[in-house]
Amino acid sequence: MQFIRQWATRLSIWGEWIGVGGILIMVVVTCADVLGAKLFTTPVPGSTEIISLVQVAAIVFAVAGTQRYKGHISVEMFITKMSPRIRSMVQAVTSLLGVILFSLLIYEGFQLGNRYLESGEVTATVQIPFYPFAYAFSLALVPVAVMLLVDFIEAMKKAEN
Amino acid sequence: MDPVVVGLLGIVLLLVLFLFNMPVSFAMAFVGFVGFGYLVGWEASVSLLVSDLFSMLSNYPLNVIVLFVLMGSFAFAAGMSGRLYDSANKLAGKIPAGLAVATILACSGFAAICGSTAATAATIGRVSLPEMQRFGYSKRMSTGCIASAGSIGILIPPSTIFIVYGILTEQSIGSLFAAGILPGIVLTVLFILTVLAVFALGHDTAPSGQPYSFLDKLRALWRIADIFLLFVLSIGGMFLGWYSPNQAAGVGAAGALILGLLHRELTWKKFFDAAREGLRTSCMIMMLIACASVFGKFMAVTTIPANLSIWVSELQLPNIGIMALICVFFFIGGCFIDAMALIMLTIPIIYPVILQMNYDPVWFGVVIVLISQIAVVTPPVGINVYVIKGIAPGVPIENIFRGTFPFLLAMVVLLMGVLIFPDLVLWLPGILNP
Repeated sequence: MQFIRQWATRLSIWGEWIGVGGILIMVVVTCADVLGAKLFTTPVPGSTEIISLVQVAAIVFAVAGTQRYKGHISVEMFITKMSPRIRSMVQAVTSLLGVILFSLLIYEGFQLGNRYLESGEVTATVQIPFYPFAYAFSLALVPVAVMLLVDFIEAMKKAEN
Repeated sequence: MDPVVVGLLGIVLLLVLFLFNMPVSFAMAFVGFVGFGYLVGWEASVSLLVSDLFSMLSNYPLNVIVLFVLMGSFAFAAGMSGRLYDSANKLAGKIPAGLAVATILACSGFAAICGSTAATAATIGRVSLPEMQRFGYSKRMSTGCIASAGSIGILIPPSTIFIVYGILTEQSIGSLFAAGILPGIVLTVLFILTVLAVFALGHDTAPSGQPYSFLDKLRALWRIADIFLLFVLSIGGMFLGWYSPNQAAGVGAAGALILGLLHRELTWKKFFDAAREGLRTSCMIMMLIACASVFGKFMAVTTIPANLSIWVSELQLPNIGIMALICVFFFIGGCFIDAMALIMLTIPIIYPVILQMNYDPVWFGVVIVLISQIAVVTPPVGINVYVIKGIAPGVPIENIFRGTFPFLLAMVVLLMGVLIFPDLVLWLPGILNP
């Protein structure tokens, strides 16, 4: 189990680096667009499309890292008052629901990528294909589902003990 | 089953999942998916789940959140908080409770480049708390002051809560930012008066600061001139119509980065740490928005928001009474759930009621932000108080909460002022966006 968690953690760290790269690209493209438009009257063509697609990649690749740091907002005050056994059972339930949610997102994200690929859908101005980003969306959520699955199994074990 | 009943059961399930410590965003997406699937169909629900998340996360207007969050992270890494505090301290000089006044001024200054209460409290707190303790300020006064002053972060632009509210309600982010400026300045003054009053009444130890010459004060102002310039360039440029909020945020992030490099404060490690921190915060907010969108679709098919509007219109209560109820609801909710999550959860339901009562959406946005400010320092959740507890582990949490009480009074006074005199909020947006 520890091996799987380490593997998911490593993936989440790589994902974060992709995310960092993504947000820096957003800053650079935005500034280039502003400078280009104001100083040379030539804004970056399709800047909003580039930023939108880079944004989706940057954010989904950061979901696992944010989860690892418990960065997603949650209400902790009630669970801390539960007995360790009940707490483990509750954690098992919420982790399982998370596994279901993210498995669906991974599967449907992949299907969305297939649909984009088949239809050849691209952005309006600079013709960037959507499908790589839908596949990236799906791929980036794999470590989140794996982490939640490990959380579920560990919580179940704790509850049994 | 009646869609309204399904909707109410969905809300109950959501609250249970919150209490069970499931991340708020994941819980909203899950309940939204299940509820929508039950009412409309499972195939449509699965399709909605992924297409909504993908389209929300790739939504260009939301980029403003990522870039303004990044601006705050870079500003922190660039050591701007230290310079702001140092300058505010010199400006406050020998006035009573000078360090506490300096803390409030520094928080207001930092709020102008960072849109988060927790980040403002943590950033200024790390610099100001050791100083206040060194000069013998009581722990209750110093920690309560920082936790409360940090809350100004979401009132003075750029504010993440204003951005999220603006996106949810399709209001101009520029108008919301403008609407927050005057109440932000008034709150800063009220906080300073609170500190002076607490000091004058002798309820707490808060010694005066050191005296500084006029020249020192001028030099102190010069040291933060670049931070002021960054605010003018980013937020001011947006107000002047030079660029869109997204571009203003991008310019702000790049500007904070460049200032960090010019001041030689930004090492590679600090730069990447700040970028990762900004990314995680952005991810948390963006996931909340995207998942709230799924939940919002579920709520729409339950017809609860529309029914709530009808129900409220049939109530024999004046509009101000309904508004008071909404405020009380947000206040109680904010005590238990993070303000951002609460806004995302409730605005799609409550907003139609506000429109029906003919209240100005921009004014209501400020009211919501003010209540959120109160929520970040009230028990049991009070996120800013926990942030300060992290910086001052030796101070009991109840002492920090107690320290915020006088400042709570100032926030309530401002809230009342905004409720009674909407022009306090609407005057500046009216001038900037006639």
